[in-house]
Amino acid sequence: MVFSSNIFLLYFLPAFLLMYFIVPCRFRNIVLLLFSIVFYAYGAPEFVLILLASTVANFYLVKAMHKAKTQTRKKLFCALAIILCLGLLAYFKYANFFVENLNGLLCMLGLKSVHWTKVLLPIGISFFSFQSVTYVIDTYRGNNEPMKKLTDYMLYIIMFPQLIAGPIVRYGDIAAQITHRNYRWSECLQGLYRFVIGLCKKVLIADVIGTQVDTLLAGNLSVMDTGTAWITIMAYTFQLYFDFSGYSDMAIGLGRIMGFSFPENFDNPYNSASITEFWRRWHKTLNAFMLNYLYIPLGGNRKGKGRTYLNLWIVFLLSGLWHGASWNFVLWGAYHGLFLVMERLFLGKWYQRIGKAPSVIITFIIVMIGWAIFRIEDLSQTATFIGRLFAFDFAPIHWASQPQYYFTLVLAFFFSFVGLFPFGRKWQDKVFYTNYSNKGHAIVWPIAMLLFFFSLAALNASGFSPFIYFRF
Amino acid sequence: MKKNFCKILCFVTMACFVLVFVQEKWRPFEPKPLAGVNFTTEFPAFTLENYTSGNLQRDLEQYSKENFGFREWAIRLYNQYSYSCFNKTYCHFIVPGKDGYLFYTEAFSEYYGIEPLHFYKTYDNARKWARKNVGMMNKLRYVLKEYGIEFLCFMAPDKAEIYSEYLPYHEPPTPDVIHTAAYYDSLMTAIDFPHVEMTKWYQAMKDTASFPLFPKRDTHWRYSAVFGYDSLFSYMDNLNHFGIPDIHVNKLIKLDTMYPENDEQTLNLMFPIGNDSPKYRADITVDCGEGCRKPKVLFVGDSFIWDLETYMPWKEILEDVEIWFYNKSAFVGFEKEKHPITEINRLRSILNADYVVWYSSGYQWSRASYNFVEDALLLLCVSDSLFDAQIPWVMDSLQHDVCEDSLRAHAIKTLKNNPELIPGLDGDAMPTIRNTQAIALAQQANAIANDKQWNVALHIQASRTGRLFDDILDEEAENVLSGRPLIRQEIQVDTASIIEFEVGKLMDQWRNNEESIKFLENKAQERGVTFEEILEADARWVVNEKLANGELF
Repeated sequence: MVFSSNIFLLYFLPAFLLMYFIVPCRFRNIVLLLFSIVFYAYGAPEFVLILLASTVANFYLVKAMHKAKTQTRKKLFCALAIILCLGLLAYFKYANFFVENLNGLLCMLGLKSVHWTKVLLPIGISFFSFQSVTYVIDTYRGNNEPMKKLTDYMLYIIMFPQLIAGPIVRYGDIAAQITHRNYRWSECLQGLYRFVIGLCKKVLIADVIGTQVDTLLAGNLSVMDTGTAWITIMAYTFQLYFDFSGYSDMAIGLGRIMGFSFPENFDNPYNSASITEFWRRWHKTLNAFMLNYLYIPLGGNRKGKGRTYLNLWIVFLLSGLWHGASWNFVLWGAYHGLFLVMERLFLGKWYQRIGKAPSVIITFIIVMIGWAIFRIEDLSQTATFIGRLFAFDFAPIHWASQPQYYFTLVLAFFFSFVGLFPFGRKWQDKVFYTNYSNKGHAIVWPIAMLLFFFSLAALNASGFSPFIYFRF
Repeated sequence: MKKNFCKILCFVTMACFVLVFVQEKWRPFEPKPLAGVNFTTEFPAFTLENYTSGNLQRDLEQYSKENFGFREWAIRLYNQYSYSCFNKTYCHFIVPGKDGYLFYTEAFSEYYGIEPLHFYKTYDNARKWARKNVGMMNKLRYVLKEYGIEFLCFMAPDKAEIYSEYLPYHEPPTPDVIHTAAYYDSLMTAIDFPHVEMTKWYQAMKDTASFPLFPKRDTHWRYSAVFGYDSLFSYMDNLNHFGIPDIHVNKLIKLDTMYPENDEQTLNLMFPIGNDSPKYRADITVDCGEGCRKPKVLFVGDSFIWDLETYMPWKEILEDVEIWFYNKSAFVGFEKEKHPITEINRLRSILNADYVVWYSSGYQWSRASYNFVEDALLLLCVSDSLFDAQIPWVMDSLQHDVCEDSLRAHAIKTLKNNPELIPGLDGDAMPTIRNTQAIALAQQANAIANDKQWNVALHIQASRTGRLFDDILDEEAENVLSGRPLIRQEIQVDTASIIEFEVGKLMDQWRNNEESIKFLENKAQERGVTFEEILEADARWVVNEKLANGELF
């Protein structure tokens, strides 16, 4: 079930909210858990048992780890729990990729290929696997006590707002809220506003741009003129941001309605003046995970410059691979890793010399080219497309042919870059983070309801609404 | 205070959600229904199989999209936003033009020459098919001519061609595009195939006409169609001097009412665009003097034909009419009795006509004749046994990776679409084969059906035996051809039985006509009698009037 579907918006969500607020506080976690299981079972019926079984197994493994008397036993249970989490991820997400490449190699060597039945990818596995890992490691490190009740742990993993597309909530950040959280009507409303903002980002911006981007990228890329190529990749850049950040906003908003405070996942990423900064602003929860559970364990920057660069490179290669089992994602990770290393070597200093505005523009261009690698799975097509970006073969752009597309691009551009200016930042803080007064609610609530109905209208009139981050 | 205010807003929010649900279930508010064809999904039944396969979820989402509360308002709201802000519609067959003009999407594509790509993939392929189709049309004309039937084409104008200055922006077309109608026109001109091309005539008339040639928000030509029909009937008469009545279009009279904005309704907007197209009525007189004969015409084509009934006194011009709409549905007679094309005796219909008119607006030419020409050639030239004999070698020439049954079905379809594969219909030469037996039978059946008394006799036999009239007609035709005793000889047909037959026929017609039902129901209520009583009384009155005026025989 996706958030931008009628079933979710008109039936699941109202039914859940009604039940959630009708029952006494002590039963709310149970209501949330049951609805979360229904949510997952509705979208991925064949995987719900795997999800539940792995969650139960993980809970008891961590419990055993916590109770273990010796360090060796602790390590053993920790390793088993991590193998379980990452093993599932490896099998479901990467087995097909591995066998395909192995067969390619065997074929090249003239050997018989391995027979393999393709494995389907359970939705959200990348997210809930990583959350499980944070639970195991945070408990192992002694940062947090393990959950006492199985249902509380299941709730942490399966909670529907962040189950299938994040944000990746670290166990330590939410453990206390699962057992005890405050309910305030005002927070509920602000959660609703945040949800509606996310829905609008998804339906009114990302989907409108996405339809045109898909059409353009499905065409013959080798004849695309340079202007159209740049506009197309810029459009995809915005589509991806508004799609994914829209989903995160909806998740954060839903969490807030229920009394949770989920971590922010985006902070005006396209306003970054370097790729290093971009990764502090884009998918922040994934980067926090990579930093805490991969980069630092690999040695971080404590083992000399060469090792630091290697660690960075490995982190980004794996981060790319996390996004999808395909060579284009690996290449995309390597591409970003390369720029991160270069920034540490010399590029960062050069950015400082040229000033913020040019740095932002250059970073944005680097990110856009990166998204071309990310979007186009066929590497030869990627090369063709990037070739068109620099072919300097310009043709007139017919703005009048797609007014809604270009208008939405302008809107997306505005909302992406408004944070660069102090007034924009102030405006964003006011909308997202300030507690509203009664007057504020009186103004914002009707706008939110209108936007909700308008998004619902768009969803039903246009009939195109797949989430991009679902497949990761 | 703040807490209470927020609490109230939260409750109102929940109430809004509940209201959507209430509206879906009980519809306390009745919004204006959406126009256009709405495909409806049944509420999906839960089975483990469709749940695990994801079909249940897909169908539930679709069902919800089609039924959620306030759906009509939601869709109209977004359509209004798209139309007002971006001149964009979500009605897939309407393209909004400038100044409130609406065009058909296909007509828009045809204007830019890209429409054939949807059917033939490449322009060269489209040209190849057009040449083949015109060749087949010429063969059909040749065959029909043998039986005294004229086959001709009528090319109605596209609004996009006439009011191109109101078309929305489109990237300039590449030089190799093909304007299908114009291409067909050139091919038919090259071989002297009889056809009437109206686009150029309408373009020439556009600047001087004192009335718009097309309503702003309707794709059809409507009232201005009378000039097209006038040209068509004159042309038909010139072909063989049949003696078609003279039509005089005296003038178009502007009416006080506005033209119903048909296509605008399908946009499903919240606020109407506004109606600024006046309605017109044509002042037409029809002269049928000495030597004048009304023809029987079979029209095969698209929706542009319906204005013939609306704007022309067609009963004064034609003796009988049959309309094969897109070669799928047959509308028989002036009462337009509707049948699927496969359920009528097509060969008889073709042979019963004086003219067969393939009738199409510009953008429909990419669809050729919806296989009418191929079907007609097969009916006229290829016997069932000859057709069956071709199937095995067509099967041999097709791919063998499918099962026998589907291969056979594929072969039959291939032959039906490509009659030129059959010896005698192949090559550029005119067809050398005829379906002689079937033609003789059909002609004989037509002769019987056109004989009033004989026709009534067979109808009486049909009602006595409970068999279909068409079956009895075929049997009688065979009786004639084989010299067997005739059914007609067994049935006594007198004036009384003809009257009873006509009364019964009329009553059936009225029972199947909504307007007649309404009219008769009101009349029955006024007079305090039952519907059946008034139905029979009125039918008897009409038939007696006909009898008195000498129209019955």
